[in-house]
Amino acid sequence: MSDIFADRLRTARESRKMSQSDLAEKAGLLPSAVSHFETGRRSPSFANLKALSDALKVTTDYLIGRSDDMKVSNSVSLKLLRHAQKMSEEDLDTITRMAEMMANKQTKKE
Amino acid sequence: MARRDFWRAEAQAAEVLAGRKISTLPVDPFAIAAGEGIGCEKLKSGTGVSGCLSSAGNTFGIFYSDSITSEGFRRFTVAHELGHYFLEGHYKHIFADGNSRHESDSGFSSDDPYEREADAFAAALLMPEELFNAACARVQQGLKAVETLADKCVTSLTATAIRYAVLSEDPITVVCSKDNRVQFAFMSDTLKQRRDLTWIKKNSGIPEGTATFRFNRDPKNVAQGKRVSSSSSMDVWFDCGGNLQVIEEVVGLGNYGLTLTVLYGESLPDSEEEEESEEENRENMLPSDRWRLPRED
Repeated sequence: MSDIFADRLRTARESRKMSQSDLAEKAGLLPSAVSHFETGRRSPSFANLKALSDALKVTTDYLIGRSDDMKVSNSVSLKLLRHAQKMSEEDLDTITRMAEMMANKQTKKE
Repeated sequence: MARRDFWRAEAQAAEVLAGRKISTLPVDPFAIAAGEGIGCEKLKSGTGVSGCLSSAGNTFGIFYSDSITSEGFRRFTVAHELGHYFLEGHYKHIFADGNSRHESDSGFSSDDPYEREADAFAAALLMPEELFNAACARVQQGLKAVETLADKCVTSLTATAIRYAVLSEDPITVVCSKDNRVQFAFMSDTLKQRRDLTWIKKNSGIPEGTATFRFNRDPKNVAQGKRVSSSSSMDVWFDCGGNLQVIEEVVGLGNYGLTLTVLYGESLPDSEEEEESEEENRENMLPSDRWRLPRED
């Protein structure tokens, strides 16, 4: 069975013209780990996904097949609004706090 | 949960601690989360969920219920969510239905293997084997030991008692009950290796005639966090356990409506099973058990 993560990881890495060793070094992983991920022998953790997506400058959602865009779309605010209209009060509370965390993280970077 | 999965969780927690050069108790899961860029926030109560892991883009957040009053349980909940973050393959389970967040009910009662693995990770992260065993060597036995270790690790009595049983070389059993039904039970390896003992099963009744049974009949004992200590025998709790005397210490866990029982004894009589050769034992072991064996160099 095809593993979408394995396929997406290889596609993203090749599009960035990186070898498995280059990617492993940039993501702080062993080269064998990248090889195992691309052959589907191992599944990543969220921590691995985050390190790989940061190194490849793509979203974790792209790597695991939840989005077809490698980068965050420019029409994010519209998407957020569309989803927000369908959310429960509790989910909205969660997402608002997440947005605060992300904004704070960005402020610290700047 | 297969014991092999406990091994994965133990190894991953050890790697997280080693990577951050954490070698003293207590371990702070909030600091570990912060170091990963993961924010931790309180979540409005009312859902029955103790915590959740959320993601948006490449940002992760951990939420824990504001109804959790115990500092130990709060830390365990955050450590459990870190388990979902650090353990391989959990993303497939967590976001399986296209969700952006995963709600957990940490606390050892779930039958879901991923939840149990995250519980095992949390226990190993907050109570690392080496540090925990070193602390154990300096304390008394039974509930007193559990309380001292819980103070040292800043963990709940329940989580500490389970870790105490799991890592101990003495015959120790920890039973968590509600309304005189077993919620979960953990036995030390010394007991589990005795194949003539039947294990205490989830949802089975607490044996009549035990101090725990009498204690649970009055809900005030549980709510008010009362405690009793009594002697008991193995065959009351385990079929075929013989009449070996054990000490039974019982404490009510207050608002959670649960009762914690710690059974311990000095030693067990030899059984026929122990005549098995060391080599045969090794062959019967899972990889996780072999990993625990002392090195032979």
